[in-house]
Amino acid sequence: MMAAAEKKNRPDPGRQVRVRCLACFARFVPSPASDRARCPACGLWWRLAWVGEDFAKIRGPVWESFPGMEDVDI
Amino acid sequence: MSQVSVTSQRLAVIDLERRTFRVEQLDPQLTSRFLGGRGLAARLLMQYAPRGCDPLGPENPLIISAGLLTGTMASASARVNFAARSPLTGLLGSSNMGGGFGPELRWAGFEHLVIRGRASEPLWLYVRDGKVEFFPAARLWGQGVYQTRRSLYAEIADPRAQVLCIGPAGENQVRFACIMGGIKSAAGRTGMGAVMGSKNLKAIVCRGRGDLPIARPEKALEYNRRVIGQVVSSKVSRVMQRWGTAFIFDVTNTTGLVRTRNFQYNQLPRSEDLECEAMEPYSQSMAACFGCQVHCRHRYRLASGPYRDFWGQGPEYSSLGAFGTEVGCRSMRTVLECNHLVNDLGLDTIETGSMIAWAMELYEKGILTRADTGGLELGWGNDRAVAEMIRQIAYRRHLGDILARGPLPAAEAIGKDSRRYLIQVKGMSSLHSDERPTPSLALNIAVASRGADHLRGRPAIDLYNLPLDLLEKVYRRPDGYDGPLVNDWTSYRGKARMVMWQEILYMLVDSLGICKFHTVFFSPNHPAFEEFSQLVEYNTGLELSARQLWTAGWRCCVLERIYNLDHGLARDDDWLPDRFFDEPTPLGLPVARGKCLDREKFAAMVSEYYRLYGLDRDGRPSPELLNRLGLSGQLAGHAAGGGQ
Amino acid sequence: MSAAGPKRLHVIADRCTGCRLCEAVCAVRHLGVTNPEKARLQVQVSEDDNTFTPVVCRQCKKPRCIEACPGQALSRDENTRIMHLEESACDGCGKCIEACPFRALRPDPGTGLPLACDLCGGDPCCAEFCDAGAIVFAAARPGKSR
Repeated sequence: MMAAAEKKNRPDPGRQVRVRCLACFARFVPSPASDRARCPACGLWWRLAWVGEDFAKIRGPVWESFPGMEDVDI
Repeated sequence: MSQVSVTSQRLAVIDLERRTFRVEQLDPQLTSRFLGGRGLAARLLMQYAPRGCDPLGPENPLIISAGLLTGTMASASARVNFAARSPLTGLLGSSNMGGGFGPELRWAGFEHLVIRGRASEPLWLYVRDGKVEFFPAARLWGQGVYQTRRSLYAEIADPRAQVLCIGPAGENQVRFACIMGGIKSAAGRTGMGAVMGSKNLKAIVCRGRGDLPIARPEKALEYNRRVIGQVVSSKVSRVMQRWGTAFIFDVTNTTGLVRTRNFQYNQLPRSEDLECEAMEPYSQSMAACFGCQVHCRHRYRLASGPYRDFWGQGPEYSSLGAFGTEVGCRSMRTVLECNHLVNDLGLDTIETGSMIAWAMELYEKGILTRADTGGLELGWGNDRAVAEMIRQIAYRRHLGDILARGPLPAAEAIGKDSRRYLIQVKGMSSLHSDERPTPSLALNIAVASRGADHLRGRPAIDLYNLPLDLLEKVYRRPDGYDGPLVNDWTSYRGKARMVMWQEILYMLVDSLGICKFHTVFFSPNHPAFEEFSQLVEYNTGLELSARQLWTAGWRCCVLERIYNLDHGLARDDDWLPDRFFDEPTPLGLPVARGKCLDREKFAAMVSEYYRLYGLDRDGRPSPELLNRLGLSGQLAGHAAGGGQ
Repeated sequence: MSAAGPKRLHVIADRCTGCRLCEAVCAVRHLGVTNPEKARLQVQVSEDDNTFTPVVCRQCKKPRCIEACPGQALSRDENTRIMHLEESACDGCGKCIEACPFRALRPDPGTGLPLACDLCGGDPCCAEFCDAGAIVFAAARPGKSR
């Protein structure tokens, strides 16, 4: 039997990693271990962080491509 | 020492003037009606605080209450609540913390401490094994929290004791001083540290060796393990286990839901160093409150600067706003140093950051000048000025002495047009979240019982745009609500229900002593009424159905409202500053950009919220509601009688 | 039993978050109460010094505690290393407590008798509840990194 600690949050390599676009809420699959991804639905670029091999989250936008930043100076 | 009973809670009434205490057993009925922690504390406040008492006078009691499940090993059952009349708002003072003090209080033989009067000289209390002892604290007076802790641990030579204390801010009665329990746990909001300071009470040390019986040990172990599994298996818990609450920043700043430069922007672009991942170079590992497997606190130490010899924990999401976006700073290093500062000086992070951000906007507008700030250049993004301003507030120097009074008195002192730039409700400042694009979250801070506050009723999962069937599964229980629910966070429809539901749920967990990260806050799949009903039964033996817990939470929420109505609350106070309605958000994703609230729709939402609660159009409980909740008679006499 | 020997409690201190749930569940399992003073293990926590150290019975190969017991009140099953205290034979002399080189054995503050770890009969709840993996019940010590 596995110890509780070993069972917990066991990486599931079979699970497809999906992140949700914060702009259009579409779910998409980033390439493994990549630190950037583009939402196929709305085209925005995101920076990614990996919680584990099976779990990525959006860290923030790629600011250069963020909409409406042209005149922003703060 | 009196025996523990699950239905009869033990209370020590402590008289600081006479240096005496007496122990009481509470009427067992109070437990099933008000549970414990925050709910029962509101009931005790009604009993022990004379209506309209001076919040910093000796007649205002400081009430410390463990939750009904605190210390039982139920999932993250660490929390302890602090109540008094708030010196910040003049309304309900109520704040709770995790850490280890709550469980220790119960092992020491008490569920509640009611601290009355004012000591003639600085004191600290030693609460152990059913007794309360009084010790002089003159030599601790003036020390920061970190040094106070070191001094006390050296004196008592018992590393397993728990220490609560105030820093210089509490001593100086800064109206938003906090009480610290550990180096990070804080009863931050509503100025409970100022109340402690006004009593000349520097610290409370607690140590207990008594049993806390578990009603059905085998069932409790099994069920607690299951509930912990339910919590830690969610994705959000995995994220929090690694990065703490700072993870929220990545989502909210990206979307455009973050107050920036006080309230001028809703996003701080290119602030990568404030993202939760930027903590990794500083974090040694994580720490947890009692019994918690989410362990959301970084343990860190800075290599240089005034705090290089001290360990810190955090930062919370709130610190990223208070010492980041609100003041226009982009440095994790600054956030960590300011986190040290407020924890050591004993200041509420949220209020402190908000007051400084407001002062910066006044400085930008020319309402404040260097003559007011003691020569300090209060420009946006001036990291050193933020740290210096924190010190000025704690020690009440220059402008700090004015900011230390809290938002409304400070605006009155500064005059001119300063009040219109405040982001506050009922006299308490808001978290750095920007609620202009999110009606549900806006309603939450408008109606919260202690002023602008996200932890009293935030329907955070509204931001997830969940499938409607999942949303319904959450928000229709446990009373069978059949009104509208909408899974679109830009909508006003059905949001009053979400806020009411979350308020009652959070009241429940605050009364049980459980952390909000272990209930429906960030995840719709976390425990709620049904699970808590089981946890209460197995751990305490008290059989309360999900529906009965719902009613108990509702009762306690209405009781807090009665306390506020007794102290002058009116419908206008359940409202937001004009800027929320008049200034559209300039930044963010399209879904959050160009948004401000609509007054008419917002007013309708407030009315709907009142109606769902059973309050009249002025937000006062109807006689039928009071009757139904068993709040008629003496308690309700104040409010129901029509604002005597 | 596997070739690796009996399962034991292993502590990986740098994983400990200081939550002390292990102390709570231990006393509940054995006595039906939470009371860290009556747990068969202890976590030494100091936030100020950043100390988070579980102290547990290690089921030593050569158990000094059992050797020190003058009345043969302490014994154990050599296959499972589950310890047993025969309470009727124990007068609370404290020799076993003094003998433990790890200071893992402590007296029950009520009875004065040693709080001997019985591994909960073979499925220790401290390890079961420690999701951080600071206390692990296994034959071999698990790798340190996670």
